[in-house]
Amino acid sequence: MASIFDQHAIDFISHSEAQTRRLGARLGELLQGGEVIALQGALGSGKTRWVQGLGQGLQVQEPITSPTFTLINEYHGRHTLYHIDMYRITRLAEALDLGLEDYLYGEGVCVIEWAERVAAALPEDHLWITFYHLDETKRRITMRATGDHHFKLLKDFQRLAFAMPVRHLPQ
Amino acid sequence: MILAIDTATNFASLALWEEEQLWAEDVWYTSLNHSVELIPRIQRMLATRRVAVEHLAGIAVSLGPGSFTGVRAGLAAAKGLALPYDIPLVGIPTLDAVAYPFQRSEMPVWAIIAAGRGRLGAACYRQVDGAWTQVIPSQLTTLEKLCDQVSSPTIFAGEITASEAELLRSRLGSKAIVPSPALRARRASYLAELAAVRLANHDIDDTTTLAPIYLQTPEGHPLKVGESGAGQ
Ligand SMILES: Nc1ncnc2c1ncn2[C@@H]1O[C@H](COP(=O)(O)OP(=O)(O)O)[C@@H](O)[C@H]1O
Ligand SMILES: [Mg+2]
Repeated sequence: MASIFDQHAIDFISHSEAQTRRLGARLGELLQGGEVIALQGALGSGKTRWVQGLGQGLQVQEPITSPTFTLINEYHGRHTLYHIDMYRITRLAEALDLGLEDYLYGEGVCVIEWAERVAAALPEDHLWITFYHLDETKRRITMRATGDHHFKLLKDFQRLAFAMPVRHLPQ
Repeated sequence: MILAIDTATNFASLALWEEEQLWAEDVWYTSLNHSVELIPRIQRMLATRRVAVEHLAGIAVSLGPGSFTGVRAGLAAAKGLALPYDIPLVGIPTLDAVAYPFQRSEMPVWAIIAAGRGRLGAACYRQVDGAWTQVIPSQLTTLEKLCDQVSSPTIFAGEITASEAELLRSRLGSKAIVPSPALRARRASYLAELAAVRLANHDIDDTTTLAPIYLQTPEGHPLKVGESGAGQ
C-alpha cells in the first residue's frame, strides 16, 4: 500500500548545470534550519552543483567547494549550512567517529553527498534527492520526503520551482 | 580548588569551587563550538581568581551522555590540564549532575539532556533505602516515551524547553513537577560538588583511560545508530 509520502515524491529533468544550480537555489530559499537533505548519485551527477545552488538560496557568500577531503564544511548564510561528503567513508562507524550525529541532530541545515553510506544514521524526517546521469548535459533528479517537515518543504519547493504540478513518481 | 568542566551539550558551563565556597561559574550556550570557546573561558576564569592550573586540587569533567563533539572537547581539555601537573581527575556522568540538586527529594527525578530533534537522553534517580540511586540507566528516548513510564509525581530536571515543559504538564497534570528554567538547569558547580566527595575519598580516575559515556536506547542500540524511534 502506498504511504501518503509517495504522492510527494517528485521527478524532473535538469537540462544544464545552470538549471541544477537554480533548482538548488530555490530549495535553499525555503530552508528554515534543521533540514536534513540526503544526496545520492554517481560521481559527476550534479550533487555538488545542487549544493552550490542551495548555498546561494541560503545567502552563503563564500564559494562552496566539494568537502571530499575535509568531509564536513561549514558555511554561514541565513542558517548554518553543513555540507557533508561521505564519499571516503566506507563504514558508518567512521562517520560517527567524526561526530556526524551532532550535525544531523543539530540546528543547522545538513546536506550530505553519498548519503546512502550513512542512511542508518539519518533522522527519520529528511529529504532524499537522487541524481541520474542521462547524458552529457541532462540529469534526472528525484526528490522524496520521509516525514512531515520535509514533506511540506517539498510541496513548497514544487510550487516555487515549477509553478505547476510535476509528474509524480510511479510507485 | 576544583575546576569543573561541563560541555556535554550545547548548554555548557564551567565552575571554580573550593570547599564551602563557589568562586566562579560561567554558563553559556554554544553551537557545536565547544573546542574553540572552552580554553579561553577556562583561562579567563582561572585568571579572575589568580589561580594557576598547577595549584588546582582537582579537575571534574562531565563524561556524557551528550553531544559527541561536546563531550570530547571537555574531556580533551580536562586531560590536557590534568596530565602535565598530575592533577587528580574525576569524571562524572552528566545526568548525575542534573539530578544532584534534587537528591534530598522524596520523589523520583528524571534527569534530561537534549539530544536533538526531539530526542532526549534521560535517566531516573530516587532514594532507595536512604541512598540516592540511579534506578533507570541513561537511555535515548523521547518525552512521550518518558511520560508513559510515569505513575507517581515526578520531578523533571535538566534540558527541557518551554514547549516540552508544557507537554509534560498537559500529559501528566499534577504528576509532572517541572522546576523553573533556572532551577532545572545543569551547572558545572554541581559537578564540582560531586567530584569533591570523590576526591575526599581518593576516588580518582585514570587520566589516560577515562572515556566518554555513550547513550543507549532501552533496546541496547548506541545513540550512534540513530534509530531511536524519535520524532514520532
Ligand atoms: N544538468 C546538469 N546538472 C549538473 N551538472 C551538470 C549538468 N550537466 C552537466 N553537468 C556537469 O556535471 C558535473 C557535476 O559535477 P558535481 O556537481 O561536482 O557532481 P557530484 O558532486 O555529483 O560528483 C559538472 O562538471 C557539471 O558541469
Ligand atoms: Mg560532489
